[in-house]
Amino acid sequence: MELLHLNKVSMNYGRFRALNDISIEIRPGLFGLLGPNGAGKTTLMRILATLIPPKSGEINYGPLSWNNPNEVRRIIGYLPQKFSLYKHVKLREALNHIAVLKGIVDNREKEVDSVIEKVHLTAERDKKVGKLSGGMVRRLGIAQAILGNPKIIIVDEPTAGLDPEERVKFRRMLTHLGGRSMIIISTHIVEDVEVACDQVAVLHKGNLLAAGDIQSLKERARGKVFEIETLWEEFDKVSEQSFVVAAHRNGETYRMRILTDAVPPGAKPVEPTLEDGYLYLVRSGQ
Amino acid sequence: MRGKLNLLFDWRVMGVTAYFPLLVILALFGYISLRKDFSNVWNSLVPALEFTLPVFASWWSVFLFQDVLEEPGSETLFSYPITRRKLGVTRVAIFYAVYLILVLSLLLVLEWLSATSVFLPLAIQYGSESFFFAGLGFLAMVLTLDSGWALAVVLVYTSTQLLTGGQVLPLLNVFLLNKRVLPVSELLAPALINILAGAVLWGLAQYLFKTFRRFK
Repeated sequence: MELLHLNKVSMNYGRFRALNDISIEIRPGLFGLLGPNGAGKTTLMRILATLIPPKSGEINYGPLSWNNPNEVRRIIGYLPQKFSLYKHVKLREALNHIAVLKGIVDNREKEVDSVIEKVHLTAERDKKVGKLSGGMVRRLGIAQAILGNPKIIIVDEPTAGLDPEERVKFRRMLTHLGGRSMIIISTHIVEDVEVACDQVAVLHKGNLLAAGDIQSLKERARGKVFEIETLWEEFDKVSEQSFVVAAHRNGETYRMRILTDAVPPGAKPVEPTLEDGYLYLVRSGQ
Repeated sequence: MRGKLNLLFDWRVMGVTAYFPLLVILALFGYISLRKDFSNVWNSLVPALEFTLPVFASWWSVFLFQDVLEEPGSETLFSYPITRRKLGVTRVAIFYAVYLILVLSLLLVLEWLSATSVFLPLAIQYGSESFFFAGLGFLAMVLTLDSGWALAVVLVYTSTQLLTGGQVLPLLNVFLLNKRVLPVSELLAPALINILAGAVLWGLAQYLFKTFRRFK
């Protein structure tokens, strides 16, 4: 399978620099784009979905260039952060219409049914879209994105607003789909990437801070993550001196997981997680 | 794969709002059919038709874009392999053509019932005005991204022009406000102006739609 190459992709909104010379190479499988709100993730997703052209830079998938958006649209599927189309029609009708818009001619109805099955919405196929739960609408969103078997699937904030159970289901579904296509997920939820993706990039304020596999991102925080048990009175002092990743109350004491360059007395080094690596990069990039 | 239009779905997705222009035309059909004497009707019928027929040409232009521009996530539609020309101006043109057929049918029935040669002059007058309004609805929707506001733009324009006899925006007034059927020779110039003004609205609306990036 081909690789997706982004070469010095930049985007401005007036004077605001939303993306700054982003260069990434994306392999088939699941790719996670991590970053806090305002990092430029949605802008990059919209550029990849051909909705907005970059100010400068090149994007290529094999011989196909993003300078030919009409050609690119034949090989991509896109699910934006918010999706709630065709509320007044039935789910199956909506997907059938989208299949027509996508130019699917052969075995259209069969393909629509197959996609409905893949996203586990068979029981809801005759329900109106407006009657579906938030999780089901997200799954419908994925269904429309995978119609026509696109080579690249772009999903912006896939689990935002979903309850924990739906989130787990959704991740599982994406992982399953990742075996056949290149799936690019943007999110600020580290767990989404940790569970589902094998490649990751971190965006912050329009800059690419890192790109690679999950392990390499974890390694960025090696030697910087510690656990410390402290009394309540010491909590504020530790928080001021280091960045608290997590804190758990244990009777009169707190067990804190901290990110710091200077080791506090009594702290034990621990194995870094993806969240540690991500937070370390974002804090370093500020 | 090249995306195709699905006009029946476009009709269905508009829901009950799709039927409003049909109801208006049907009501006018009923009004005309019930009249027995057409000798003194033109001074009220010509303005009445001018107040209703062109305005409703904008209705479908607005509601065709409710899911395309108004709903969150509608940006998805722009990622499909269908051109913005097809999604935009082509759909408006097809629905305008359907509306025009309805208007022409009404005028044919009017000519037949009244036994007066009114079809051609009224077709030129209302057809050109409807063309303008179809473009106005399209442009208002692309600018406001909200069917309620788009309808408000159309209604404000229509009501101010009609109430002031076209004095508020005389350069942009498409209404003739005539109380009799005018000869074709008197209609050609204003109809041409309406079509040119309409073409500007259609062109501008399609340009904005083609370059549209204010996704919700």
